[in-house]
Amino acid sequence: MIIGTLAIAGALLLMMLGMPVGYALAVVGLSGFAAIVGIKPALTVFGQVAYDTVSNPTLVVLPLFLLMGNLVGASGMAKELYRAAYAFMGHLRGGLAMATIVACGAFSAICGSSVATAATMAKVALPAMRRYRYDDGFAAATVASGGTLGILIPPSTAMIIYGLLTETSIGKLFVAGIIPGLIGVAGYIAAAAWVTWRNPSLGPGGERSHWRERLRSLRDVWAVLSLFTFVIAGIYAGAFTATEAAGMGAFGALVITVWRRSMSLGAFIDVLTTTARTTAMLFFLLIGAIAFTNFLEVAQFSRELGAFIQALQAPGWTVIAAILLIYIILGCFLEELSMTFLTIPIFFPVVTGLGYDPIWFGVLFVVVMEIALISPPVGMNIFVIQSMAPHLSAKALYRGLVPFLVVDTIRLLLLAAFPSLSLILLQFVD
Amino acid sequence: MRLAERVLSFAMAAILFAAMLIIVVDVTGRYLFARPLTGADDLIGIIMALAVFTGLPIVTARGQHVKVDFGIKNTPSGFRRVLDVVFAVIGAGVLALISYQTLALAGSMADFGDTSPMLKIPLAPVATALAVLALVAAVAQVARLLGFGAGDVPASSSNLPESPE
Repeated sequence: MIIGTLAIAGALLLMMLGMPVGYALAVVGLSGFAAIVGIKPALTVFGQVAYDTVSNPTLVVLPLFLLMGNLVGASGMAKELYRAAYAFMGHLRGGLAMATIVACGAFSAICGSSVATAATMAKVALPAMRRYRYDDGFAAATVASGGTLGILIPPSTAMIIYGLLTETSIGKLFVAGIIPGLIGVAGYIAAAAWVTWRNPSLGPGGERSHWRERLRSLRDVWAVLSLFTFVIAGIYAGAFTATEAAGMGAFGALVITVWRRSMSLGAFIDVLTTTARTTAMLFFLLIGAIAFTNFLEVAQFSRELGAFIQALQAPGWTVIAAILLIYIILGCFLEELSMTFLTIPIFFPVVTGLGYDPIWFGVLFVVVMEIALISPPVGMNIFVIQSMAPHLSAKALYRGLVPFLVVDTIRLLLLAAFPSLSLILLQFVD
Repeated sequence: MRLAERVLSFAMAAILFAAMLIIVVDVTGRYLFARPLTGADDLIGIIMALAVFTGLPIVTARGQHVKVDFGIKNTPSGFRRVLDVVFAVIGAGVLALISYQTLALAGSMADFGDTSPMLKIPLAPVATALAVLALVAAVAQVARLLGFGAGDVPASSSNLPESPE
């Protein structure tokens, strides 16, 4: 276990020094592997890993869901989602914040990325909240937190990456995220209500909408809702695999954008190249992570770590609690993607070794990632909001995030204590 | 540099679009005409490999590989510059290794006559293409170090966020 521990510490150190994560994992994995089996076999395996990783047809699920989210993001549908949510709740105290959260949740149902959800909704929701004199920190924190729902409500890139790294069913992970996602929406709305109940001046209500306006606003969002239903129901009913759902979903998003004439050909090519770039970046990380995982396997790290934990005779839940705590602490300082690729190879075998459900742990993992996205100082959603609201002080934003982090923690505890919240929908999926 | 990036970007976009169309044809064929596309998985596997390795030089040239800068944010700029150089050299080495090993793999694929399972597409040329693209990425990493790159392109500077999380 010593060599494994050293390697993990080494990878972490290199990452903290700013070495690109893919390189760090590849270098450490490769040298560790070479130290155990010799240089030549290690290199051969590395080449094979690189080729196998990129030529696996099921991996196309990742770029295609990214494409679907990016298409929808570039098509202006976020505005209509926000308008519809506003029509129903805008008049309430803190109503614009609540509408932002609901719109984020709806957007998450077609976009698998938290960063994209936060960035897209920020463009729509921040100006609206500013107009109604919302507190800047509260408004920004609402968008940053609401955006995190992107990776919990299916589709979800974080679940896809988890599924690919651990060979867990992506379709089942998606279905397991639905109820926790709705709990997330409810929790954030409660946080917004609590904040504005304590201090109404932070988030005054907007104007009340007539029922006619409400119904009309619903008409604008049918496209988004039907796309989600098509994709997720397709997976749920077993009509599509996750990969097929991704392809059909991306195509559906394309059809909607063309039909609405909301995108030029140039913009479309731009969306395609952006998506492909992100894909290349991710798959390179994946190659590094798989090299690293292979090394941990040859070094028998996971088995020895498992034996070590067993020797402690600690109850299983304390191990899960410790892992979640490590995630929450790491999440403050590590960027989320790096954290995923470094930690899943280490923790996943331990968790399944203890007999826990890999889908349930996947949901917990995604929720701790959501928390990491908004835990200062390092969190992608924090960075996104800061880049979009440059005048906002970090202190105001951090303070605004506290109530959301509190409800997130409560949600995490709930989901950890009651696995059926995540797993109950799965009994109807084959 | 610029031209090369444009060509690669366009190729990458076209490949991704093709992957989507293949799936759509496969699924609609299966449900509407009871005729799925034969060998869709073969095509997608090859296409994805090409897409990822086409993107590799671009991501490398733009300095878009995922990294953490929290640990060294407040260190002297000279120290960071040294680290940058060291990491770029190591990175170029990793990419060159991938290139070399993929080429070796291509050699053994050619020897064994490896093909894709359904469509019997020979795989050696595919692996060779990957090796070439990985080498281009290694060169791009060195070129970036020598100042030919575009400088770091932070994810938030573009219209669309490029982080998938």
